[in-house]
Amino acid sequence: MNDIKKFKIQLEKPWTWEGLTTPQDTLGELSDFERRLRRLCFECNHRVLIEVGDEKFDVFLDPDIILILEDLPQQISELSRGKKIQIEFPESYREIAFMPASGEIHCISSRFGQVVEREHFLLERTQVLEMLGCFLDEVVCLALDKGYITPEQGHEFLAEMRTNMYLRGFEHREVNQSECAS
Amino acid sequence: MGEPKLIEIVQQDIKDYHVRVGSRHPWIGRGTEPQWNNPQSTKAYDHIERYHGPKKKPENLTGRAVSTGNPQGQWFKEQDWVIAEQVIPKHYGNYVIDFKRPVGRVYYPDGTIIDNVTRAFVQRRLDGTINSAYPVTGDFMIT
Repeated sequence: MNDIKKFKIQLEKPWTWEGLTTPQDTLGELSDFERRLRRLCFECNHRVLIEVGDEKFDVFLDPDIILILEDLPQQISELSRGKKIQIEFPESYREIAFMPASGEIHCISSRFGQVVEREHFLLERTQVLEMLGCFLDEVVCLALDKGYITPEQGHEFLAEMRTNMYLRGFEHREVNQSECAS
Repeated sequence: MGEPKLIEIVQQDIKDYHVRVGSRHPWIGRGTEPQWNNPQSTKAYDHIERYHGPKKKPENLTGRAVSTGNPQGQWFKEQDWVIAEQVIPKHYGNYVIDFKRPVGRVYYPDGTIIDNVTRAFVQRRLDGTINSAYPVTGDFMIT
């Protein structure tokens, strides 16, 4: 419990769920940007590797990240300001809670369903924030590269997270189209 | 509507008792309030129909169960996820509710199908909308 563990979240290989239909918005409730993000997750679906301490598991852009993507910049921002956040993957029967405490993060990785398991880990705060920020950059780069969003939309989407991370001295790279294309 | 009174909340994991959210409460999310009474509301019910809707083919749900190792629930009727939203507490959290009548079936990775399950897992977001909801068997636990 006292060992500082690592956290990892990153895009892996493309992946298809046969029979999954295109995201719909029949009542026209979503913004154009929200619709674009959802199409990205569906049409460019990927496995997403998550490692928390000694645990390693896969989730997917669709149906997992698609459920949290719009709120992720705000969640990362809140975590950087010392607030507890919870990332939920109900389609994969999992949740991860991050609770900041000084320079560290107390993390609880939970499974529910036919079994209920809870693993507690201690993580380094900067490493978790950098990893979450890089993952979000990776997804935005994919969206830019494939033409789902414009650079302006990408910057606006990441603005809140970046502002708070800069204010707190976290080094974080800028996203631009040339970087995405490489 | 009389039916919601019969439905039992069998498990709950409330994550924020301070704010009351959901249908018939002030909307605190982005943009305009969702159409809570319409099961097709993407904003209120997100991808429930895409992942667990009545029209999904059995082979798709079995395939998903095999590839993830997690059982997959399928609703019989769209209106039941609207009822689920109405009966769970108006707080951010996870819930298992028992409709006391068949609401769906569950596909297992080994090919087993349990029909006529009466329970459902429902996850409410911070803004009150439903992140996910699907039928589950009696051994499904959240805490």
